[in-house]
Amino acid sequence: MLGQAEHNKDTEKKILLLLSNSQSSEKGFRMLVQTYQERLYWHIRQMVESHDDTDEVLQNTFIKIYKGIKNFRGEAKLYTWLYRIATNECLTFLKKKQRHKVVALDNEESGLVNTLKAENYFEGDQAMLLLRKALETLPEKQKQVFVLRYFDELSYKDISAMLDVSVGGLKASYHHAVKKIEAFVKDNVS
Amino acid sequence: MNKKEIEEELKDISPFLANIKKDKKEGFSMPANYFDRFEDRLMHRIETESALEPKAIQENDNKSVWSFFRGLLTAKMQYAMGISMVVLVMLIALPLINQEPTLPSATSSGLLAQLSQEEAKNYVAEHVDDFSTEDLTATVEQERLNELQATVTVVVEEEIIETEPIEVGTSEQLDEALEKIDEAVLDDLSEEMLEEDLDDLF
Repeated sequence: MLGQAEHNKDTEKKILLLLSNSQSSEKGFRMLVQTYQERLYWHIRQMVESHDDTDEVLQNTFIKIYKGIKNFRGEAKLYTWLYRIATNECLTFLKKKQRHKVVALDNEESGLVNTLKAENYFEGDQAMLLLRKALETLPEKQKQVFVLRYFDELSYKDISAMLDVSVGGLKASYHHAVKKIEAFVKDNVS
Repeated sequence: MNKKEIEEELKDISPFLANIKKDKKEGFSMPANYFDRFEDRLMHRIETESALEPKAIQENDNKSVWSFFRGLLTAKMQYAMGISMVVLVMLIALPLINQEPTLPSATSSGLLAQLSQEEAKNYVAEHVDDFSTEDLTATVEQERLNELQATVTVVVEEEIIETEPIEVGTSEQLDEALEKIDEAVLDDLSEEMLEEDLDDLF
């Protein structure tokens, strides 16, 4: 585990070194994409669910990173900065989508479970299906915290740096999110 | 390390959820070789968008120059520069703001030239408070001015005579002096004023 962490640090340093030189910056950016695309994909996928939406948000995220990498000061960890951009892109996307959403959430026939079932790439079991449906009922900030903690398994310190929220506030949000999801799954499990 | 901590935390909050098998990929699938092709697709999009936005690139370069200079200054220096700029702008702007607006002279002359003498007199009579004494005397002929000055002198002299202090020594002299004062003037004086004057006398 420690070996993996050291490897990640070395990779991060190498990427930043390549990016700092205009001759090698494209190579550095390609390396960054190769290193983080899968982790960011799954982070985004938990937030927006469908593959097509995830693909769009992931591309937007890397374009933001490409344009803003010169401003990265190295005060935070690189992956913390990347997650922060990805999370913001998810929120922007979800807000935009919310405006265009015609689906009536009260209508059982058009709820998230049906949306997920209709999604070609979804094939989950009932427990996970309910957990993801429960996620949809959370406020955006709570959902973010839950995904970053539960699925991405990040420390509160890293999440705090990403979202500009105190560790105490994050713990409270996570606690509330877990309790709400538990209640939703228990109520809906057959 | 994080993973174990997170599992323990979840068990404390909700043993029920902790028992659900967690796999963020479980339940989701994606097109084959998605990640193998993603990088090339992304780079293609960046190249296309960069080609379509030459202005944006130029703006970014300008921002970089500004960022470079800003990086050379400390926060305190930036703050001091900001205050200096505000003071400088105020010093330049205040005299301009305080200046009284003036009509272009050519326009004023043109408009005045269109007025007849009678119209001009009427205008001056209606707006006499807007003119200074110099403006008014400059427009009056010398002969008329002399007549006016004579009138003013007479009025002033009369006022001097009427308001000249009266020297009184005894009560008889005071009565005698009061008899000389016009009754109309006495009517204008209030009783209080007279009392004050008499107090001053004794």
